[in-house]
Amino acid sequence: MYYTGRFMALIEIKELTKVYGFGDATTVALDEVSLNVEKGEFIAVMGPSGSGKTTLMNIIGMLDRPTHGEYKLGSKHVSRMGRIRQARRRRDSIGFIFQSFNLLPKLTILENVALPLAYKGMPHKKRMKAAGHALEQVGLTDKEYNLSTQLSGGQLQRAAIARALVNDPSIIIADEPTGNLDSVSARVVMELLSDIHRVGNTVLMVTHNPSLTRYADRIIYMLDGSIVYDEATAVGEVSDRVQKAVDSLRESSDDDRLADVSAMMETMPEKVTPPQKRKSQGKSARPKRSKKSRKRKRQTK
Amino acid sequence: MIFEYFKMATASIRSARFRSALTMFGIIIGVSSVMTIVGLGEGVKQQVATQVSEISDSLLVVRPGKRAAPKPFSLDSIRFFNSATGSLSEKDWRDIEGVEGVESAVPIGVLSGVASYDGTEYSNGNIVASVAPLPELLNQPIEYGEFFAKNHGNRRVAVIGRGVAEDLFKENVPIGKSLEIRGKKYVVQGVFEQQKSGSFSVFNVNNSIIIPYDSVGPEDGTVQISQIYVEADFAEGLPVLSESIRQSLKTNHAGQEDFTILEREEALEVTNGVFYQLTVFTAGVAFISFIVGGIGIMNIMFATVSERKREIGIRKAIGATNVQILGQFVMESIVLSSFGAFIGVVVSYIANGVIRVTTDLQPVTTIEVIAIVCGLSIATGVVSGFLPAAKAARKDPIESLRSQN
Repeated sequence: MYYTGRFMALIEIKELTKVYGFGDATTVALDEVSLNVEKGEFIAVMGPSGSGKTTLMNIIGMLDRPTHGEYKLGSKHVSRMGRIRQARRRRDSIGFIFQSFNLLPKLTILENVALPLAYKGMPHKKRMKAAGHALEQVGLTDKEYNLSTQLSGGQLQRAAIARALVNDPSIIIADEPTGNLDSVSARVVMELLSDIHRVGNTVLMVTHNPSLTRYADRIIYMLDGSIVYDEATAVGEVSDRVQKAVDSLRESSDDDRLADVSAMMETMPEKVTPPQKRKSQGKSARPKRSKKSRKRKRQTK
Repeated sequence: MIFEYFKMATASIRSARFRSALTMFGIIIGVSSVMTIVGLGEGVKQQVATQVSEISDSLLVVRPGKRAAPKPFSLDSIRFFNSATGSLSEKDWRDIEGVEGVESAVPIGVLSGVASYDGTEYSNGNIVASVAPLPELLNQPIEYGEFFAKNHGNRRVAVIGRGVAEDLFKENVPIGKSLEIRGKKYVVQGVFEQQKSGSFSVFNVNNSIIIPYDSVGPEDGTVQISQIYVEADFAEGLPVLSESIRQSLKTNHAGQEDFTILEREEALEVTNGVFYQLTVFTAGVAFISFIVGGIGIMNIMFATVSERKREIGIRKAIGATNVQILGQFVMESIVLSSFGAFIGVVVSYIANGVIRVTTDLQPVTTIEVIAIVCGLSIATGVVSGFLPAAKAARKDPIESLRSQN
């Protein structure tokens, strides 16, 4: 067991690397990232598009596998698990909240929230009750039997939070949860996440909005696949330092402190890859963990 | 979990009703046609079996032509008796009558010609020259009048089927009226009962005109003996009797055995055999629509899987294993095919009902056929759903979540 301070490290990540594509199209999405997350933390993960935030979240959420490196979740080596065990682990320990809500349109809100429990094999009555309870927590009891098309964005995101909570997961991963919401709904959703954090849940939130860091008690800033800034802040503090750090990092990134970024990225005018380009690379060069890409990685080092 | 898959499947099928209905169409056609055809075959088989139990078990049938070794599913076995005619003569019949142990021998002599009454011709009937006790041997009762006696001689009389009475004479009991064959008048003295379907008789009594064998003179054209029914004195002696008839006929035919002697069951076997092969063949053709239906399902499942990428991504993200995704989509395919099968069974019941009402065939649907058809359609669902479902299960969750649909 590995302890830091009072808490047992919930997530231990050591030198995690993720490489997409082969040959000349190789992209290093994560470059030997190490990170410990303790139970009860609310971490805001920031960084420009293409900095590897989402890749890191996907690996922590076991939707993706690292090219190499170590990922322990609750002292278990998750990255070495088979796909089925990973899926079960994901079901039991991870609650996802997406920018675009991702509720199934054909199911009612209640059925959507109960779905993770269905995959667990919980009987129908029991899981509907649990889902009803989760919806109560997010204040959507009156929308139980509505379809997702009948709800506003803010309500949808609250339903998605209820779905993430219904399994009592050890981590809640929110990938830009307010990205598609107006400011009022965004505030409601953030307060909700804050409440969830206060009762002892661990929250990992990706965001572009520095003002949202006030809800977090730790801020991680990522750039080009590395964590370049990691600091604890007081909850409720609107962090000017974060804003400054964001600006300064953007400016200073030209001097190439991160020597092991791939050669292709160096030729670009900005370190920050445009989002579309980055996406399409990741998509087209899908085969991961191939020997070739590993080899490529070693060469770039 | 299987029930969960079922619920998911029905939900997504319900949300695309029209498409699902179209998809099921192939299976519906396959199931209903297989069931109707097999039902018809089964029905005829049962009707014939009923008929055979009613007729005498001391009956032999002599048919022209040598019975070939049964070669299943070849054209030969279907046209066997149809092509071989003419090898039996009047002498053969008279000789059989003389064989010891023969109670009576009745020839079915087919006469070419057209009967007419009052200027109208009856062209779609048979003219059969025969003797008593034909009705008893065919188990075909007379409704009005009577059949001509054995020692009737050559007086020109006729016993007609129901169809002839209705179509030629336009009345139910035209007894006493006379019809004309080749310029000679025959007085109607009897009308048969409506012939039951699947009758033992090889010809359709309903549209036949039976005239005494001896009334046909040389000027009336040749009588082709298509078969001779032989009634034995006692049933136990049939094999022996059959052998003595064979010897007698062989002498007539210069040692050639160009005829076949069948016992009651064997005679039916031939009729049944032909029908059975037709049934199997048609059912085989109908089974192809299962394959077509299966391909239709597979096609639509592939389309569904690529249309529902995002759903797959979401399900995976909230903890569905690959096996669970596979199960969901295979179940969807099974539900499609088995619901199609259910509708197909209903359709075939309706079709059978229509056949019962409109024709004199009695299709029979057996539990076995339903079981086989349902099993087959579920198998079709599994087979055609597996590849698309495996594709769905293999989908990368991140990529799927990123997709627009």
